[in-house]
Amino acid sequence: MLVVFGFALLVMAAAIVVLFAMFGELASRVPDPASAHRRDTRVEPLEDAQIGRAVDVWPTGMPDSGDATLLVLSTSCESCRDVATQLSSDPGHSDWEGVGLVISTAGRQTGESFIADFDLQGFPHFVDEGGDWSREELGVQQSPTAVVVRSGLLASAYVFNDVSSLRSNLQQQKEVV
Amino acid sequence: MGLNEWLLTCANAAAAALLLNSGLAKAVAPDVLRRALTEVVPSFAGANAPVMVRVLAAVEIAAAAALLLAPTRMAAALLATLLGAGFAAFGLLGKLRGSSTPCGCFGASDRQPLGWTNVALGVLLATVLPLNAANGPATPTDYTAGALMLAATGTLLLCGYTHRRVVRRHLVVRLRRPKPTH
Repeated sequence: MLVVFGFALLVMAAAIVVLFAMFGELASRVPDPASAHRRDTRVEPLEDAQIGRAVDVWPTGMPDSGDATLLVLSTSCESCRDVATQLSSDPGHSDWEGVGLVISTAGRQTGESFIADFDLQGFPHFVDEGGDWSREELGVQQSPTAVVVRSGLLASAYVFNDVSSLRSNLQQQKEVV
Repeated sequence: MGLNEWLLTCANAAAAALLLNSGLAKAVAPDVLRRALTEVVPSFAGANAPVMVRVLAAVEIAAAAALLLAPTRMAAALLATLLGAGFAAFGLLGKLRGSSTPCGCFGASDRQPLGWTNVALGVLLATVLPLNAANGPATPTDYTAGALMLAATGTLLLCGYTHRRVVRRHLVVRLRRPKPTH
């Protein structure tokens, strides 16, 4: 009798664990309002950015190098995951003209999984294996970073965490120009 | 039951609770561990990776259940020891390669990557086989009943502990928030 009772108790405990695991999985997909509130909204110019540098090799499928904003995200950086979540969870970012994602990663499969996991297929993207392209062509070794390319030249580069702050900052820069 | 038998029952129940939390969480959300493993072992990025994580989850759940039944206790203890050694090895690998991706290990929903926690809990799990080889239950029915109930309690406590942040963030805060008055 005790064995049956113990077994029933264990099955109920297992059901609760499954419930919490599902809840945890769902919670990880929903942006935490508290952490969003705490998110660093600073948009700082990237130190040592090689402004005026010509970008010789341009990946196919990316927005035109005449006027493009590239967001360099690494698959192993936590802030980049937060940026990816912001991009996919806010429908307002889907109409961002000229934006392209450069996914810096150790392997192609990891980069493609990152795109799929965060539902970023709607954005023009390029999986940068080993981060070689962003390092050699953009001179960027940090992420998350936003790189503005105009007429094939690196116009500006920023370190950021909050996508909305970055967009308003870029908009202000554009208006000044 | 004697003191030794109670200690063995408690140890096996604790190990089963750990394996059950770990296995069930992996079965529900295999992508968390897959991402963490891909970071330390890039070749793990294949299309079969989620299936492999779920197979590991099934092995953990089976080991947990078998560890609580007197007739299958020894075979499960061997399996638990092997799993523990594996957890410790991956924890060490994660630490050596500077893993930063949350692994969801042992059912945790926080952002802890592979590291020393896996090593410590893996080593503890690895002691299950020697512990069982040294002590045998005198009364199998009492062992099974006691182990099942202790494991159920341990599973719930561990589940509450590993998900404490999610509970605090999404449940407790909202329950405490006063309702608007009209």
